[in-house]
Amino acid sequence: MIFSALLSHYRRHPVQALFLLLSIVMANALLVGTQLINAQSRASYADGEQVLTAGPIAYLRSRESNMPVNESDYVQLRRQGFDMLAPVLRRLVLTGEGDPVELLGIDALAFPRQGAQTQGDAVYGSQGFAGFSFAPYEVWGSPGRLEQLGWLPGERVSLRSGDQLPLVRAVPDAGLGHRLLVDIGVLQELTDSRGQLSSIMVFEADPAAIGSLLAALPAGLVYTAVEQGPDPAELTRSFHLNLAAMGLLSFVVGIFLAYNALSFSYTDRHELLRKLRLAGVTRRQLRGALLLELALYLGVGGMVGAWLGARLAASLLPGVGQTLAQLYGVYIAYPDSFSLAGMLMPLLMTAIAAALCIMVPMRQSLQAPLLERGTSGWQGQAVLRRDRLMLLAGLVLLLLAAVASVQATTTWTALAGMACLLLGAALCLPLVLRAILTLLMRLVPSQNARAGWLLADSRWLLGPASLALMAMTLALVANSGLNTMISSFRQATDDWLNQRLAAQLYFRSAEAPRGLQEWLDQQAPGVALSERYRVMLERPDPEGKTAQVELVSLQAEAQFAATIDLIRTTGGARDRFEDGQGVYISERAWRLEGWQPGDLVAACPGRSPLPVLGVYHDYGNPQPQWMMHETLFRHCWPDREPASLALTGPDTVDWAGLRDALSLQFQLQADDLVDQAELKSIGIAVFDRTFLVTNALNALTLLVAGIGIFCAVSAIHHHRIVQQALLASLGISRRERGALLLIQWGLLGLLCMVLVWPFGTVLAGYLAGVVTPVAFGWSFALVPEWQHYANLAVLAASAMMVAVTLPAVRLLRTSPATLLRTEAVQA
Amino acid sequence: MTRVVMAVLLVMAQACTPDAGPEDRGDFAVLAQGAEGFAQARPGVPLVFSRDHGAHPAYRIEWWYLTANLQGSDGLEYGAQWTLFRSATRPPGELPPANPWQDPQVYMAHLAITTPDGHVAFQRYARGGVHDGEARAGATAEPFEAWLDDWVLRSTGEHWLPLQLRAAEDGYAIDLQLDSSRPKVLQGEDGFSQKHPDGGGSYYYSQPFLEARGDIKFNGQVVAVQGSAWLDREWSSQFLKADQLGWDWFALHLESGEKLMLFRLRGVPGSNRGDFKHGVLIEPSGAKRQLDPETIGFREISRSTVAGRELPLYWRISLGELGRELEVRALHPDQWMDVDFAYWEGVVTVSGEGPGNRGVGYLEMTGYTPR
Repeated sequence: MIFSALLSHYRRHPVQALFLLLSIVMANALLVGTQLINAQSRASYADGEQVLTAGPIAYLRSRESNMPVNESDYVQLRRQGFDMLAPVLRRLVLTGEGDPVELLGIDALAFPRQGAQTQGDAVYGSQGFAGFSFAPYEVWGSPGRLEQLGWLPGERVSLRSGDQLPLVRAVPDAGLGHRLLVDIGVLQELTDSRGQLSSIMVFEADPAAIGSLLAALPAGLVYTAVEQGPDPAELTRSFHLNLAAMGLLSFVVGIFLAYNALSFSYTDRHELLRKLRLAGVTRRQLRGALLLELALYLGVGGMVGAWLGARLAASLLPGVGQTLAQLYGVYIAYPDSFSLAGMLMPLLMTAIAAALCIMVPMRQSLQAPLLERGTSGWQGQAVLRRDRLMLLAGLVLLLLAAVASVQATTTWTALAGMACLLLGAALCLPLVLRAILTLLMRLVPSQNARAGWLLADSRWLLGPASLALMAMTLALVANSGLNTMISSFRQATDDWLNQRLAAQLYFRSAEAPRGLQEWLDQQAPGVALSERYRVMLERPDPEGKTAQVELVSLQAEAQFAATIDLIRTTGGARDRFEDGQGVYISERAWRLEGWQPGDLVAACPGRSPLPVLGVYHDYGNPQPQWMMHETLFRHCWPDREPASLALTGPDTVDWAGLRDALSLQFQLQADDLVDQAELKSIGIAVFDRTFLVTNALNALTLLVAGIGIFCAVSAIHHHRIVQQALLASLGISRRERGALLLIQWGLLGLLCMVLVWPFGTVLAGYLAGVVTPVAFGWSFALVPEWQHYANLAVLAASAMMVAVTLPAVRLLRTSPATLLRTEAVQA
Repeated sequence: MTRVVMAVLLVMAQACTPDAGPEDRGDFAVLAQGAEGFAQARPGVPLVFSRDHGAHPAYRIEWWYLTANLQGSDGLEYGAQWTLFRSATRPPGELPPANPWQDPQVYMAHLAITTPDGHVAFQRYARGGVHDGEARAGATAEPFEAWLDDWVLRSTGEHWLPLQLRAAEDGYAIDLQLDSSRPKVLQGEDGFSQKHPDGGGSYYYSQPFLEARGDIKFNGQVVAVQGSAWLDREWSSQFLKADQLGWDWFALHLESGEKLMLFRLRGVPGSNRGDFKHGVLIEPSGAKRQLDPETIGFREISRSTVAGRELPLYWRISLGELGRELEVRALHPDQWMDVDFAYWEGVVTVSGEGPGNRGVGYLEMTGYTPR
């Protein structure tokens, strides 16, 4: 009975019930989604790399990193009886639309069979293998990945190179994840890599057999056990933390809104509760009924949220897989269903948060003196006190964030600092807005009554609306921070590509065609042949641990030196580097391995150690790197063959023409020469797709905030009848009242940007300068993108105006007489 | 000839399945697939050696099939089967593929070892492409060598015989020296063996007189063995016709020194086609006696359940023309070849009156579907 009386409120105000549900759903959905994605990824890491459900225990790779394995080595090892080996070729190709696609080339016939057991699986039983391994061949992908690429089973996809992939086939549950699987011969032909393997997979075998394999390895191959390699869980930890943080952010935004909706529903029922108590219902019974009501909302909202979250996870997982593949070279499987376990934690969190949320409003409602009629909750002094407290809390949080930015040494502390920054910004909002509105009121000439009223009323609105505004601000700050971070990162990638690709034309082979230099001297004066050398070294890092360091040469031409952006330098670094008096080290070698400028390192055999002259950005290169001038390199390693070959020269050279002439003169294939622009476009295409998921989540968070604002504004307008009645009775036309409403909320939205602007930039700087270096060992410079803020401001103001339109129309349609009547009743 | 087991491979060859419903016929339907574009086996074409010891890539399927009935130094019965199957995935006549991974020749090898109380079977696959002068699988005529990885059957000297077989997997290994002073036997009509009443068939020769000596390794022990081995070589482009289901194939070493080869190709029930029977007795001299199919009786005495199938593991064979009766019984039922194209093949003992009705051998049964 009591329960139905309480619920009758929602029958009269179904929108309020809907908003409450929506906020619970929102709090849950993204959190569940990100949790499920993380759980699935971790499960994939635990399983290790799976190729057709077989997980290699080790890889045989070329001793020279990034160099191909000769396939005749593989054939010889198989002929010696090492049947636990299977060849792999990994290649990245671009589709006609410019989508980068990772292809894994295997020989399905060479896959291990457990003793006499057959694979027996419907997917790759005998008939399946036939289609895969023999003409006309097939390319296999998980349904999720194919959907992401927009490929239909049975079709043939064209690549940018003009080649066609074989028939597409969707293969669920094969652990393919982001990669597509194709026959190794097909992939070699597609990518002009005949005779090459990326590595040789080693499958489970008894220890004696592995021992014999090690003894029989050709000199050029090294055996790397899977557990010796980078641990994918470790590698991707910060990525998953980021994802979890985004889920939490959306959870917090949802909880803010749920709190908003709950406090409105309690305030609105103040009178009802008082009457019920007068009718003899005890506080205990009322509390029970209210808790039951909350449980109902939580149950329904939680379930819908969990369902949405699972849908979200399923649709985002291929994108996450793409990011993981491109950032870390780690592959996860895309399952067809998720376990319930991942959904329980968010439900529990929502329940606890909701319980905390209702504590204060519920006590206020239940403890209110029985004989006193309810008063409006937004008393000026109380609100001001609340805002001051929030500002104080916000400032403390910002201080903590500042400390964390200096002190953070782990990803956790860096992210905690980021959370402090975000929440701190949000908490400062109400008082800052209040101050701005007060300032504006002083600036408005006193004879402009409407503007004065508008500002004063907006200031009052900060009371009920501040939570919703804070939620929106939180989402906007996060959004702008991430956007700035991503655009800066993109710029960093571009810089890195420029640094790596300073030459205009690259040869695929490291061996120069005979007579190339002479031909160039005659046909293309000014164009120089530039060679890049590299060697892998094992050196003790400053802590004494052995580190694998890649030592590379920097070409002598001036344009190469110009691409090296030094973060730390010692005196006269550039001149001394030119003279071969020292080396540069990469940022990773500096931050993670711990070499410092000024340290002496053994970089040149037969010479005394050389000083570290400077530190350069080497964005995202997982390998610590040292760099020395080409002249010094060739002096130190005279027998070294160049690792890559390029042509450099002034931009005035007709590079396309030169490319054609070269192909003709030296009978090069179309693929033998690659121009800089092509390589760069691949790099940037990969980058853009890497951040698809981040962008998607980012947009979702913003959407959550938009819906939240809509809910909050609707709820508030329910309480604005009095003001409308007053305005109407003052003779202000409906049209004017409408304009006032829109301006008022648009103004609030715009004013939020006053905070979003600086804090978004600070957040981006925090991500680029604190979180990334701590998590990855490298940083990049912040490139603020001001236009983005303008977009966001327009977005925020329009979101507000759209949100306010529907309730405003309802409000304005009501005739002044009705408004006054309602006013009278309420009074 | 024998066990043709499966050219099974074929399966791999043909993504397109023929019209006949394979669900009735198990995996062996592949042996009946079409042969357009491949060379066809025809009667009246003489076999040429040593050329024909090597591979015939113009034909769709081919095998090197060795079984050995062995006695251990411990006095117990052992058996070994090693087969290399070749299958061409495309007809000849096109240019050789530039990429060795796209070589049309695909090989499958089976290794099975029967011990007094057990049986193991292994399989491997490889393509025939040559990478920098080396292929994972292939067969050359001179010097003779048929191999897949380190499973190898090869001549040890200048001549085809003696041969050596070496294969090992997963703690099991076989190493046999095989030799004979008697000539190989051209089956059917001078090496053309009809496999179907309509006239289709294969090229087929055998060396049933191989004396084997060597050792078998299993469960960490090595047992010296010796005994009799039988090598079958067969190539064709179509083996079964669409209305044939499978076969029961006997290769027996009799105590009289004779070799007896019998097979029955079973027609698909309701196909209006009876069984196709064939039998040949090879005398110790190597002289061949073709048996009248009408007089050969295959009677199942009992069936046993193996791998979910009811298999006849106890037979009474009657050779009416010779007035002989032989009882053929599996050494033990568990000689199921649990490979991609599964079948039963194993050591059998032959008992009856007199040395012409007693001995050992191998029985192969295919095309039995699970209950």
